[in-house]
Amino acid sequence: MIGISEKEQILTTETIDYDFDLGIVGFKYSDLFDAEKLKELAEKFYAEVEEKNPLLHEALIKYIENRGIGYEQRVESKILSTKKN
Amino acid sequence: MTLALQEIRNTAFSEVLIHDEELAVADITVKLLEAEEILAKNLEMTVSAQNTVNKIKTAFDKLKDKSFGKVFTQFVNETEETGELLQVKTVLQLLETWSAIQFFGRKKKWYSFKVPHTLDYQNLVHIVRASEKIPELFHGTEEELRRRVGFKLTDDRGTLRDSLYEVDYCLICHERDKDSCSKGLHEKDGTLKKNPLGIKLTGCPLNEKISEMHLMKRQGDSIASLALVTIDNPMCAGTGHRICNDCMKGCIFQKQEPVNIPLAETATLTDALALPYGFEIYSLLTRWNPLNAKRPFALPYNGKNVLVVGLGPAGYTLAHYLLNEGFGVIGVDGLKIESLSDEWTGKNGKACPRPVKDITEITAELDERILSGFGGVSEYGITVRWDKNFLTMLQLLLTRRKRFRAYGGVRFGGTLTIEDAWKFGFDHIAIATGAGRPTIVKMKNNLIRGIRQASDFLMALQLTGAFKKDTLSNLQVRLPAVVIGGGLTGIDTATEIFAYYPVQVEKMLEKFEQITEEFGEDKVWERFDDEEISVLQEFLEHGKAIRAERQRAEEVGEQPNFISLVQNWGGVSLIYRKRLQDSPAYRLNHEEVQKALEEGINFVECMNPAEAVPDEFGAVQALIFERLNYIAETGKFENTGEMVEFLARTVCVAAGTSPNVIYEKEKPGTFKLDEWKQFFQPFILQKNGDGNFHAVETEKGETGFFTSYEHDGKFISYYGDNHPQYAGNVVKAMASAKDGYPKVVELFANELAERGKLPQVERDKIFDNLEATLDEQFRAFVVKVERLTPTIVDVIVKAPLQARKFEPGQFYRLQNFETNAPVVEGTRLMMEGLALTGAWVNEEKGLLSMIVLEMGTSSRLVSLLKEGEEVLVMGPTGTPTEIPENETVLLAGGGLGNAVLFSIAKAMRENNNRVIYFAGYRNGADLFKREEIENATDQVIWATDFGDEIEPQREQDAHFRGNIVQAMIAYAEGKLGEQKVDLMDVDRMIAIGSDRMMNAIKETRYTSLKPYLKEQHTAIGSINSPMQCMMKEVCAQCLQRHVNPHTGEEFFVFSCFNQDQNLDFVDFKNLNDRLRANSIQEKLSNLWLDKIFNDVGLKS
Repeated sequence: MIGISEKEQILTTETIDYDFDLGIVGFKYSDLFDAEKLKELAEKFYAEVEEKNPLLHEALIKYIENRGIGYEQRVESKILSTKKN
Repeated sequence: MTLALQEIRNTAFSEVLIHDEELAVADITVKLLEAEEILAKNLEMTVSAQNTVNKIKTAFDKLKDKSFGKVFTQFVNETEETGELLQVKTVLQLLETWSAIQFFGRKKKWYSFKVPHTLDYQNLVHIVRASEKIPELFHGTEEELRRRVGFKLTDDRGTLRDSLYEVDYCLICHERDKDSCSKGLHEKDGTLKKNPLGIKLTGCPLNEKISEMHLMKRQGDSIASLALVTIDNPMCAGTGHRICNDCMKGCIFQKQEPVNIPLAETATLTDALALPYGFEIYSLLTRWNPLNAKRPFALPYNGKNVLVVGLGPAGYTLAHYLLNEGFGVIGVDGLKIESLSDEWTGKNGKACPRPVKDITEITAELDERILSGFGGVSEYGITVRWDKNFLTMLQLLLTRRKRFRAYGGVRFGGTLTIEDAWKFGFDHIAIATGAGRPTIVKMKNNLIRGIRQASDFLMALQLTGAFKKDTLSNLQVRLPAVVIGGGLTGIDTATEIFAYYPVQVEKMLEKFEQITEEFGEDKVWERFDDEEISVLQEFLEHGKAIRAERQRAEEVGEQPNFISLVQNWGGVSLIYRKRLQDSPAYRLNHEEVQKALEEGINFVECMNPAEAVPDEFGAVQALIFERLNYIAETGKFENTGEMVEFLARTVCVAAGTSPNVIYEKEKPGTFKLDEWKQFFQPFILQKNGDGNFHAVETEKGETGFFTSYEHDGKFISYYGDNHPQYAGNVVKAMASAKDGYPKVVELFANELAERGKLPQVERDKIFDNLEATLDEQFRAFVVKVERLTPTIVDVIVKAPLQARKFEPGQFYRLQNFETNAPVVEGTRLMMEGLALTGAWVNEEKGLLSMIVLEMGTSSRLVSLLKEGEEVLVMGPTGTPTEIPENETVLLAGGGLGNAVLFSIAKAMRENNNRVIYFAGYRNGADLFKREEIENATDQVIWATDFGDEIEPQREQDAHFRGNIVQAMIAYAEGKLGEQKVDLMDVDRMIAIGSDRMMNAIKETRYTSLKPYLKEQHTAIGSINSPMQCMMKEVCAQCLQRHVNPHTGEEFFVFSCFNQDQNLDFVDFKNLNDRLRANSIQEKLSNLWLDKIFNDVGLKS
């Protein structure tokens, strides 16, 4: 990304009195309002799914990449409601 | 048997005593079943199972001579097992037998014993017909009456067990592709099925993954459940329990009661919200949901800005989707929107917000909550059956978005036009202005005092805050009350009148006691006329009865019972022209009909309104209906000629609304309307040979989200109640946003791809600049409050866009903000919307002057506004006064009306008209802005009733002692010196003043003045009807009766749409009557304000 992110702008304009660590390494509360960090957080989620349930991960990633288009609803439901562990 | 069960529970399983009986029995049963399974299958014994076995042994030793021992001994003999298994099975046998007795005895209303009842579509609500004389009248059953006190949340949306029952009851049929609650119930040919009431079973308008939600919930995972909900319904705080039941209608259970999905959905959200940082979890799921294939996480700002017009359910949902796609969104609404605190919003997304750890940090009791205005109809149109704190949550989660801003008090077509939007730099406009014009029911003496539109009542109650203890809002209702209509709005209006009446009379009693203590009873009573005295006595008597009931209930520790009191005072009846089963409320939301009956309202069917009967004071006292007869063979209703009278001191009409297409009415030719001139005609966008998008009218049945508007590559889309395929309810409105936003994204796809290389910092500047401009242009701040006379105040505000848009004759709605309003002696000094005409504007400095006559509480609060205070200035609204060319114009201004006439006179002169001006004042000391008047007129005749005379400053001007009509006659007769203008030359007359003054001018033109006036002159009055929303054809408080003097035809006009009305058509008696609709409360409030001003040394 070119330029500064929304998160960086927040940091530069305000003192973050209310910020705190989320308990997820590398993420703070204020990151939840930053588009770039949200993307990163999603990647972290998918990585965790991969680690715990590689089959589910494969199906989920394909589903997301296809934006859910062309999926039978039963298949979609199965992907969405399967537990990662 | 019961005793035996109690003994074993208390002796052996005392750990379950903390539970209610149902859960305790269930807990014991689960323990026994576990032990039974282990013993029966010879599995390895667990600690808990062994404990259970030991407990039974110990209990038997202790209880062998008691009931348990006897029952145990009896069942042991009937059980074919041995050892520990025998003991366990015997206790289970006891439980089973006891449960069977309870189940068949129907003594316990436990979910454990609940059997879904079959559906009888013609009898979905429980009613009692109790009148032989009027068999069409019915009410709810005595045992189901539910005591309601005021305007706290009336429905706590069930317990965890209530929702878990529904989750358990759900068949989870998505696994068999049957989930009709989501997808609709279809015939074999693919068309939608209808239920026996003829309602299409469409399922959830959002296609929410309901069955999947239940599956997750059943597994105990509330957050996963909510994550699945938010894929399709991110704004789920605005849906759910008591909002929409389309999913229930489509439930696979068609012959027995359906799963209460909305309750379960709201419980899913509520359970998540109840977690520590639950709001943050929900809020995050709206921006980040890795299971959402279409948009797993919000995109960075893309440099494109969309103006969303209307922040109701369609508008705020669309804003959400567009924000996640990276658009900047500015939402505007004509209503006032209160700001949330900077710490919660992070200064509108510019800083890290304060995290909400506990949801109660941002919620409040509904009768104390700040009426934010965000959410449009969800705020003012839905009753406190629904927790409006959900609106606060939605407002907060959007306001925290860095590229979102909401501005209230901006009227599309008035403050802001399409052209303005393009000039500000918007790339697209999305219209979500909801419903508009209410339907006016035809009947004789329509809209006499006491008759209102339901939208007027609901808005005054729920947006202006009449129901709140700490407000000064005036909304006067008397009993008996009748609501005409058969829809959900009618139902809501009926229940809210029922609940409001006790609040109203108690508030009035309290105020009366305070002011009589301050000023003495005689001084107070002398303010009221005969009619008001008798009505006030009635209110006070009722107030005392309410207070006594409240005290009685407190003493015995129960909820007060106001139902019988309100019913004895005449009650509230909903009267509909067809049968109950034909009413939209019953067909679409019979649950709401049932709940309303439980609150004590009556329902009368098959009655067609014919006439309102006025009392000796001109207020409604009864309604006459014609009885209609239902013909079963044809399904039609025939007139019977039988008239039935219902006493009615308050009447609210809820006969439906039309979509808000007011922009097209104001600026004809902007949009193509459909063939019924009701909705915008739908268009889709297609690329043609030039490679650019163009609007193309849809084929029949095709869905289009665009209007016909196309200019310079810019388009306008529309949603919600504006849209023919999505009008009808909150969730359909949201669905329009969900289905429509991809079309807007598609519109910019190519451009965004090209602009992808623009550095983010450069993109960000686009929004930041727009936001800074709009902050400067839209927001209004008090510059100065100047007292012109003892009763007239000039308030000057900096409101650049509002000022720039002003044209003579137009007016504004001025309000202070509830969050800033001072609280004095427990009352928040919040203004109702004041209709104020612009006196002058300074476009360069962005200044706007509005002149206020201090005659009511709200107008008196203007003087308390502080320099620099932010206020709401909505407008301009109304219609610019027609300024002719080369005419001779007579202006007649009475009192405050002169403030309106400055700018009109000036514009008249600038357009080469001759202007003769009659300026009337009660007292010469009331004169203000003299020079402005003189500068804009050829001649002024000052007329004063008493007190100081006004000495003319110009040779041609004169003073007359008497009223303005007398002055005009004297002038015509040549008694006031030089006649600069021969009245015979007057082409146009514009009168602005009190209704009495304008009526006098109207009538004198046909009597004393007739010889001096040309026959074909135009006579206009600027009509000051009671007003509330001023957004043009929305609340309908401003409806004004007209009668065509030539044909006798009656019709009604919205004064806030066009205040300038033909004097000969205006029914001034009706206007005068309607201006007194809240007169008792207004006088009480005024006196109370006198007291407050005395007490705290404030000066009005």
